Amino acid sequence: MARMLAMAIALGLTGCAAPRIDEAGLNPPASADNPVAQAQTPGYNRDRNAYFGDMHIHTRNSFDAYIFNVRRTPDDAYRFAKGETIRHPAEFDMTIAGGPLDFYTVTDHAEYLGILPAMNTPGHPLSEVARARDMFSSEPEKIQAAFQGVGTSVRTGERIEDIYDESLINSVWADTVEAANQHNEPGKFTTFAAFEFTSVGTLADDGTFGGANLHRNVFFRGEAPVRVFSTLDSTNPEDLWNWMDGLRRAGIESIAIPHNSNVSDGQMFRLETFGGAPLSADYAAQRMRNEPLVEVTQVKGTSETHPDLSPNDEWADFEIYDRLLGVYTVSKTDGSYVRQAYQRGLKLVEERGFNPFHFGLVGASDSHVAGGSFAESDYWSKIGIVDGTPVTRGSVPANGARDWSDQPDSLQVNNAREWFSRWSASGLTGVWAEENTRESIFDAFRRKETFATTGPRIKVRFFAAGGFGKDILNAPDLVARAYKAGVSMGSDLMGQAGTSPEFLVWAQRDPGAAPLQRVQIVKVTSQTETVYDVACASGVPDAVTHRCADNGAGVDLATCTPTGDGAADLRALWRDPAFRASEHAAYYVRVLENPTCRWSTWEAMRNGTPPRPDVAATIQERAYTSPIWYIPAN
Amino acid sequence: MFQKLLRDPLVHFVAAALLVFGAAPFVIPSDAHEDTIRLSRADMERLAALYAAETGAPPGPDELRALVVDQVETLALAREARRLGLEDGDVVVERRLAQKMRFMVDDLANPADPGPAELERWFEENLARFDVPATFSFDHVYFREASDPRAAQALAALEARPSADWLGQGDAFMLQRQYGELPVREVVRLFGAEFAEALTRLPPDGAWQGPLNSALGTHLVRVTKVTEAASPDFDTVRGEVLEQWRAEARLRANAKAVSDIVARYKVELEGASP
Repeated sequence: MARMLAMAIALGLTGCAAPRIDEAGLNPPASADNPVAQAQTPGYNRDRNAYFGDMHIHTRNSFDAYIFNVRRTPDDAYRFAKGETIRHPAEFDMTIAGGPLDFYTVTDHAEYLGILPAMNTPGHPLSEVARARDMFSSEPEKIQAAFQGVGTSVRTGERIEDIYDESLINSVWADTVEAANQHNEPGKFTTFAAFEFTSVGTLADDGTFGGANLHRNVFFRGEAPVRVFSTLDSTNPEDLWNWMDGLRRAGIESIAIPHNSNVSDGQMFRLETFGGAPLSADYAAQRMRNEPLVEVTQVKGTSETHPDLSPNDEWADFEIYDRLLGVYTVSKTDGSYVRQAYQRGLKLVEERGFNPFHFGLVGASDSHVAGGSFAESDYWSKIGIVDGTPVTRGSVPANGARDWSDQPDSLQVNNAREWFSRWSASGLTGVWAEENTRESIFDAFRRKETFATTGPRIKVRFFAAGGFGKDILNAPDLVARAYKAGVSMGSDLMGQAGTSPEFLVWAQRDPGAAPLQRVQIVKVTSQTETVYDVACASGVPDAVTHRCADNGAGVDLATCTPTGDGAADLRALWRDPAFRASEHAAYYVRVLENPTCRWSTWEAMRNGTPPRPDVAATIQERAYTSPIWYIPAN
Repeated sequence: MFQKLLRDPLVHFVAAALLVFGAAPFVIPSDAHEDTIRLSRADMERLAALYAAETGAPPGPDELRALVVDQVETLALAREARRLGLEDGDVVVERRLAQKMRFMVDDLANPADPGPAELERWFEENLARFDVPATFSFDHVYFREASDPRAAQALAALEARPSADWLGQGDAFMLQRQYGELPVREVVRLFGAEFAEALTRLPPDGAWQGPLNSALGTHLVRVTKVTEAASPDFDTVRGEVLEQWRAEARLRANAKAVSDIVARYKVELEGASP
């Protein structure tokens, strides 16, 4: 009852007679012939620019970040994104790799937002409660018990009444929104009001926070509500969607983006509702209305696919991280990965006529220190003082050892082995938008014209049409013609009788990162998945194996210097050799860079010790586009 | 106990606690005098050994000095924190307490805003921070291969007939063919440092020049306009100036608060001249 009342208040306070958003208007066709009629900012491009951002950042206002000794604020976070240097809790400077970002979003945990800083402020009433005295005492057992209690509350949704101060949470939320508004500069830098809804699937009845990640970040297109929605309102993501639907009816538009499906224990893309009921067309419509995008790469690993699910994909074993939150338990693979979700969605379409997994892709860091580390050569991991040095994150041996032969059986060493050494210097979101404004970028989210990268600013365009004409790849107005003739990433391509569609894929390297090795199209149907190389750094893909020849690129591990050539600009027109006009299919692009040293190898090299043996020494950074879905005629 | 810890949801925190508490034996001072912080030769040798274990090399004189300064700050802040009763009567861990004290100091530092004249004076003293960066407006013709012979041909054609259709020349470019008032750092992001460097040397006379190599291939370029880096008018950036003033004042106040605390103590370093 209290929850419903709270929701009603939230809606009532924010429903200021704004016009109802037309559902159809949320998803304008991806055509450059339909530019939004608004004042244009400098850099406006009707053929759309690639903008890069990180939409998943925590500051001191997140209950866990504060315990990790993070003291940076949302203001600091935005300054970091704009190129300023900020301080890490382990007392070193952080500057963003690759230059300032175009957009950035602070997404602090909504649960107990800003409560821990108050509990640690002498004189604040919350610092007087017993839990605060325990949490900030000098006794590890008391600290653990106090913090564990908060984690358990976040997971179960049962409020700890003596620290759940809703007016304080609302005021910290108002400050968060204000920081975003302060830093939003149309044409230069975009921010969104946002928070993280921290739902955790139950792992076991051990009363801990550990478990399956069902977290979502919620972003507001413009005006933000006066309160957040957290697991302390409901742990059920479908209740979050109901809340968002209600706000939408009141004129407040938002989307939610789930992340770390890879550690969701099979629950993120399961084939039933949160409560265990069968999926329905209404469920699919509500999910896609509220969650058009999924985060596919971040510091806690890759959610694209897993070698067990994609045994024929030579590149599937990439930055796999599979431990549930806060424990060493391995997450269930089935139901946890995006490529399989696309397959499940297509099967549902064929059998039942709806698709709850018709989503596009983004990437982010999930940094808990206010700034993400995107370059392998300049890595600082995620959780502040806990993994703030090469030793604590396990890239160099503990105790000053010169090799890996005799590591102690200590908590720090074990945590580094099970968790931190497997984390990644990733990732970013790319969007194709006319200009760098909230409206333009949010609309790109809506139409899923987005791609994800594992850190470098690789740019990739992707179109499909019945046919583009054979000269299009060299036409100076390639992009305008492609928009006019077809659909872009994130869209549906309606089948035309008897025609095999043509795909146009175009990738450009990050001038500050490694050159490109190959561009691939991943095809998913309800029954199969296939990876096709479609453009190679040198030569063309083999017609039978659909693979590029090895371009000979490598890395000198003694210096981390790349060897061999790669490409700056790869483009191809492609038709699916196994196309079946009557079969639903999803196609997305994966772009691979030449190999480079993994962050753990960089840190080992600097320390003069061998790279950690149980993680890859080199990686191939990559980009993933949102799919284009082929819908058969009739 | 160990099994329980492994299964603990708060393992993140446990790890942090171990880091902090694990370091404790090294930082508890041996001296009992209230107002004296004494680092013995053995203390400093331990600091150096810790440093060597972390970094793989022994500290040089500069590093050693920094270690000692940091250690003295830590101990002074810890003493101060204990004087204020933050130890809670339990096992005292200096680093943890010093950190607490530092956070307290950070949270408390909230200097009053400057008057208009003072703010403007500060702005004048820090003009470089508010400079509007130099920008370049240019058109370019792109060739994917750096050695493409068509580049020289196209340049000759465009020089002979400036009204020729330049947009029809070269390869399709994924982003824009015309850029207006692009700051240098954006040029670096889009084309790489080599191209940006070359671009800044071209005269803004609207004539086709090049080819210029970039990370993406090679380009013919005509620069139509350059705006030099300029200092903005105070009134137009007053808000940003105030923000930056506050940020700096906070940093300064925090540093001063720490040094004030340190100054309450007499510091003795064994073997150092006073």
